[in-house]
Amino acid sequence: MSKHDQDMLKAVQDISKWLEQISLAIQSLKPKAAEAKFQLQYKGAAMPVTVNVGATGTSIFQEFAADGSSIAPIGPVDYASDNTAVATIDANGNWTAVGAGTCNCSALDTGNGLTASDGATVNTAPPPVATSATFQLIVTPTKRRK
Amino acid sequence: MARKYGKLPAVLDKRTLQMGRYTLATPPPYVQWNRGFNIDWGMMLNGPNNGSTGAPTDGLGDCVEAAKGHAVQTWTLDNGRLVTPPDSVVLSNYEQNGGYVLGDPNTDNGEDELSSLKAWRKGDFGGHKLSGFVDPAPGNTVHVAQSIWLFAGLFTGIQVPESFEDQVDSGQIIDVVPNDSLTGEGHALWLDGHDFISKVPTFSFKTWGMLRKMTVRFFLEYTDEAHCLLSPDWINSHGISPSQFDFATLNADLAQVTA
Repeated sequence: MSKHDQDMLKAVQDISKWLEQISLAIQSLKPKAAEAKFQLQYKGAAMPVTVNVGATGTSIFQEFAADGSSIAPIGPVDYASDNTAVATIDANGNWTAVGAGTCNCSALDTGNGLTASDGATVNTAPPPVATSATFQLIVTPTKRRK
Repeated sequence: MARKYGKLPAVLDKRTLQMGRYTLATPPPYVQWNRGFNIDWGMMLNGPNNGSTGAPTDGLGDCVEAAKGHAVQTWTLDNGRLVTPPDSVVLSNYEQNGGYVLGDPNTDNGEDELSSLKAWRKGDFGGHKLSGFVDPAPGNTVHVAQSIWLFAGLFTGIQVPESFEDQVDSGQIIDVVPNDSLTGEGHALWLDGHDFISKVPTFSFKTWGMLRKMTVRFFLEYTDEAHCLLSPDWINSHGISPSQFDFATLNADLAQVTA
């Protein structure tokens, strides 16, 4: 290898190192998630103390940097219920109350390990409520007096 | 899928602290520190792996180290950030505690839990410390539930029946199978939940990267050792109060044991 080629190779190696260092520096400047919050929601608001069997709702999972700014999750977010006899939660964070009792639902950012939980208490199903009714009109012909 | 085991027969040490010595609160009937996540919790080299550490791709008999890794996962998950110790940490601990020499299959002989836990107490596991451990009375499921509730889990060892691996693969609740014989293998498991509400009472555990449940009957039939691990990660963050655990006596005992 000629001296010129050696110089060129060294220059390319140096540039690669610089690019790597710049990349690392940029990554270190990005805020990192420090905390996660998870909230079960019912009818668009925080979940009440109890819900009845059959109730459904959504959830919100958020991550925050140390300065409090909101950050998007890194990896896929997994949702789980620690007692599926009480409530289930699907892959999109939508929950369903299925049985009386208490449970915790949690979300986990599989990209950085951040996780948070929220509790749920489910009552037994309320008494059935009539949703329709039938009405029958019975007409009994009477004898016409003459 | 062939997996590995690696727990050597239980070693007894009369000096090991016993849970029966301490005042403990009554545990609730349902606790799941695993939060119910049905994720890949990591093989931790105890079976097929990508070989990135240089360990055999069909795994090592390092179940004792793998169970430690699952314990760290439970403590950290409930503190807000799940930490899975990298395979390099698992491997280096297996080398230190089990005498394994990378590349020499003749040294892949497993390890006993007691010696490994003592080594953890003196050192660390990927930066995670162990303050000490106390043993539940054999067959005392209340002690087991107290350990799970107060300290996030129980480090156990079973004598493995023939049906075990198939039951784990099926995802069913692992139970005693009539006329089942023992494989001759020992296996370390990390328990991190109990359910005394359901019709069939169970303990939840992690092994080979999976979360599974075993019946209390299975636990009583095949467990040959169990240790309640006291992790500063867990105790400090959860602020376990003296009403829940007799720390005054424990600290005095630990001072004697570790002196």
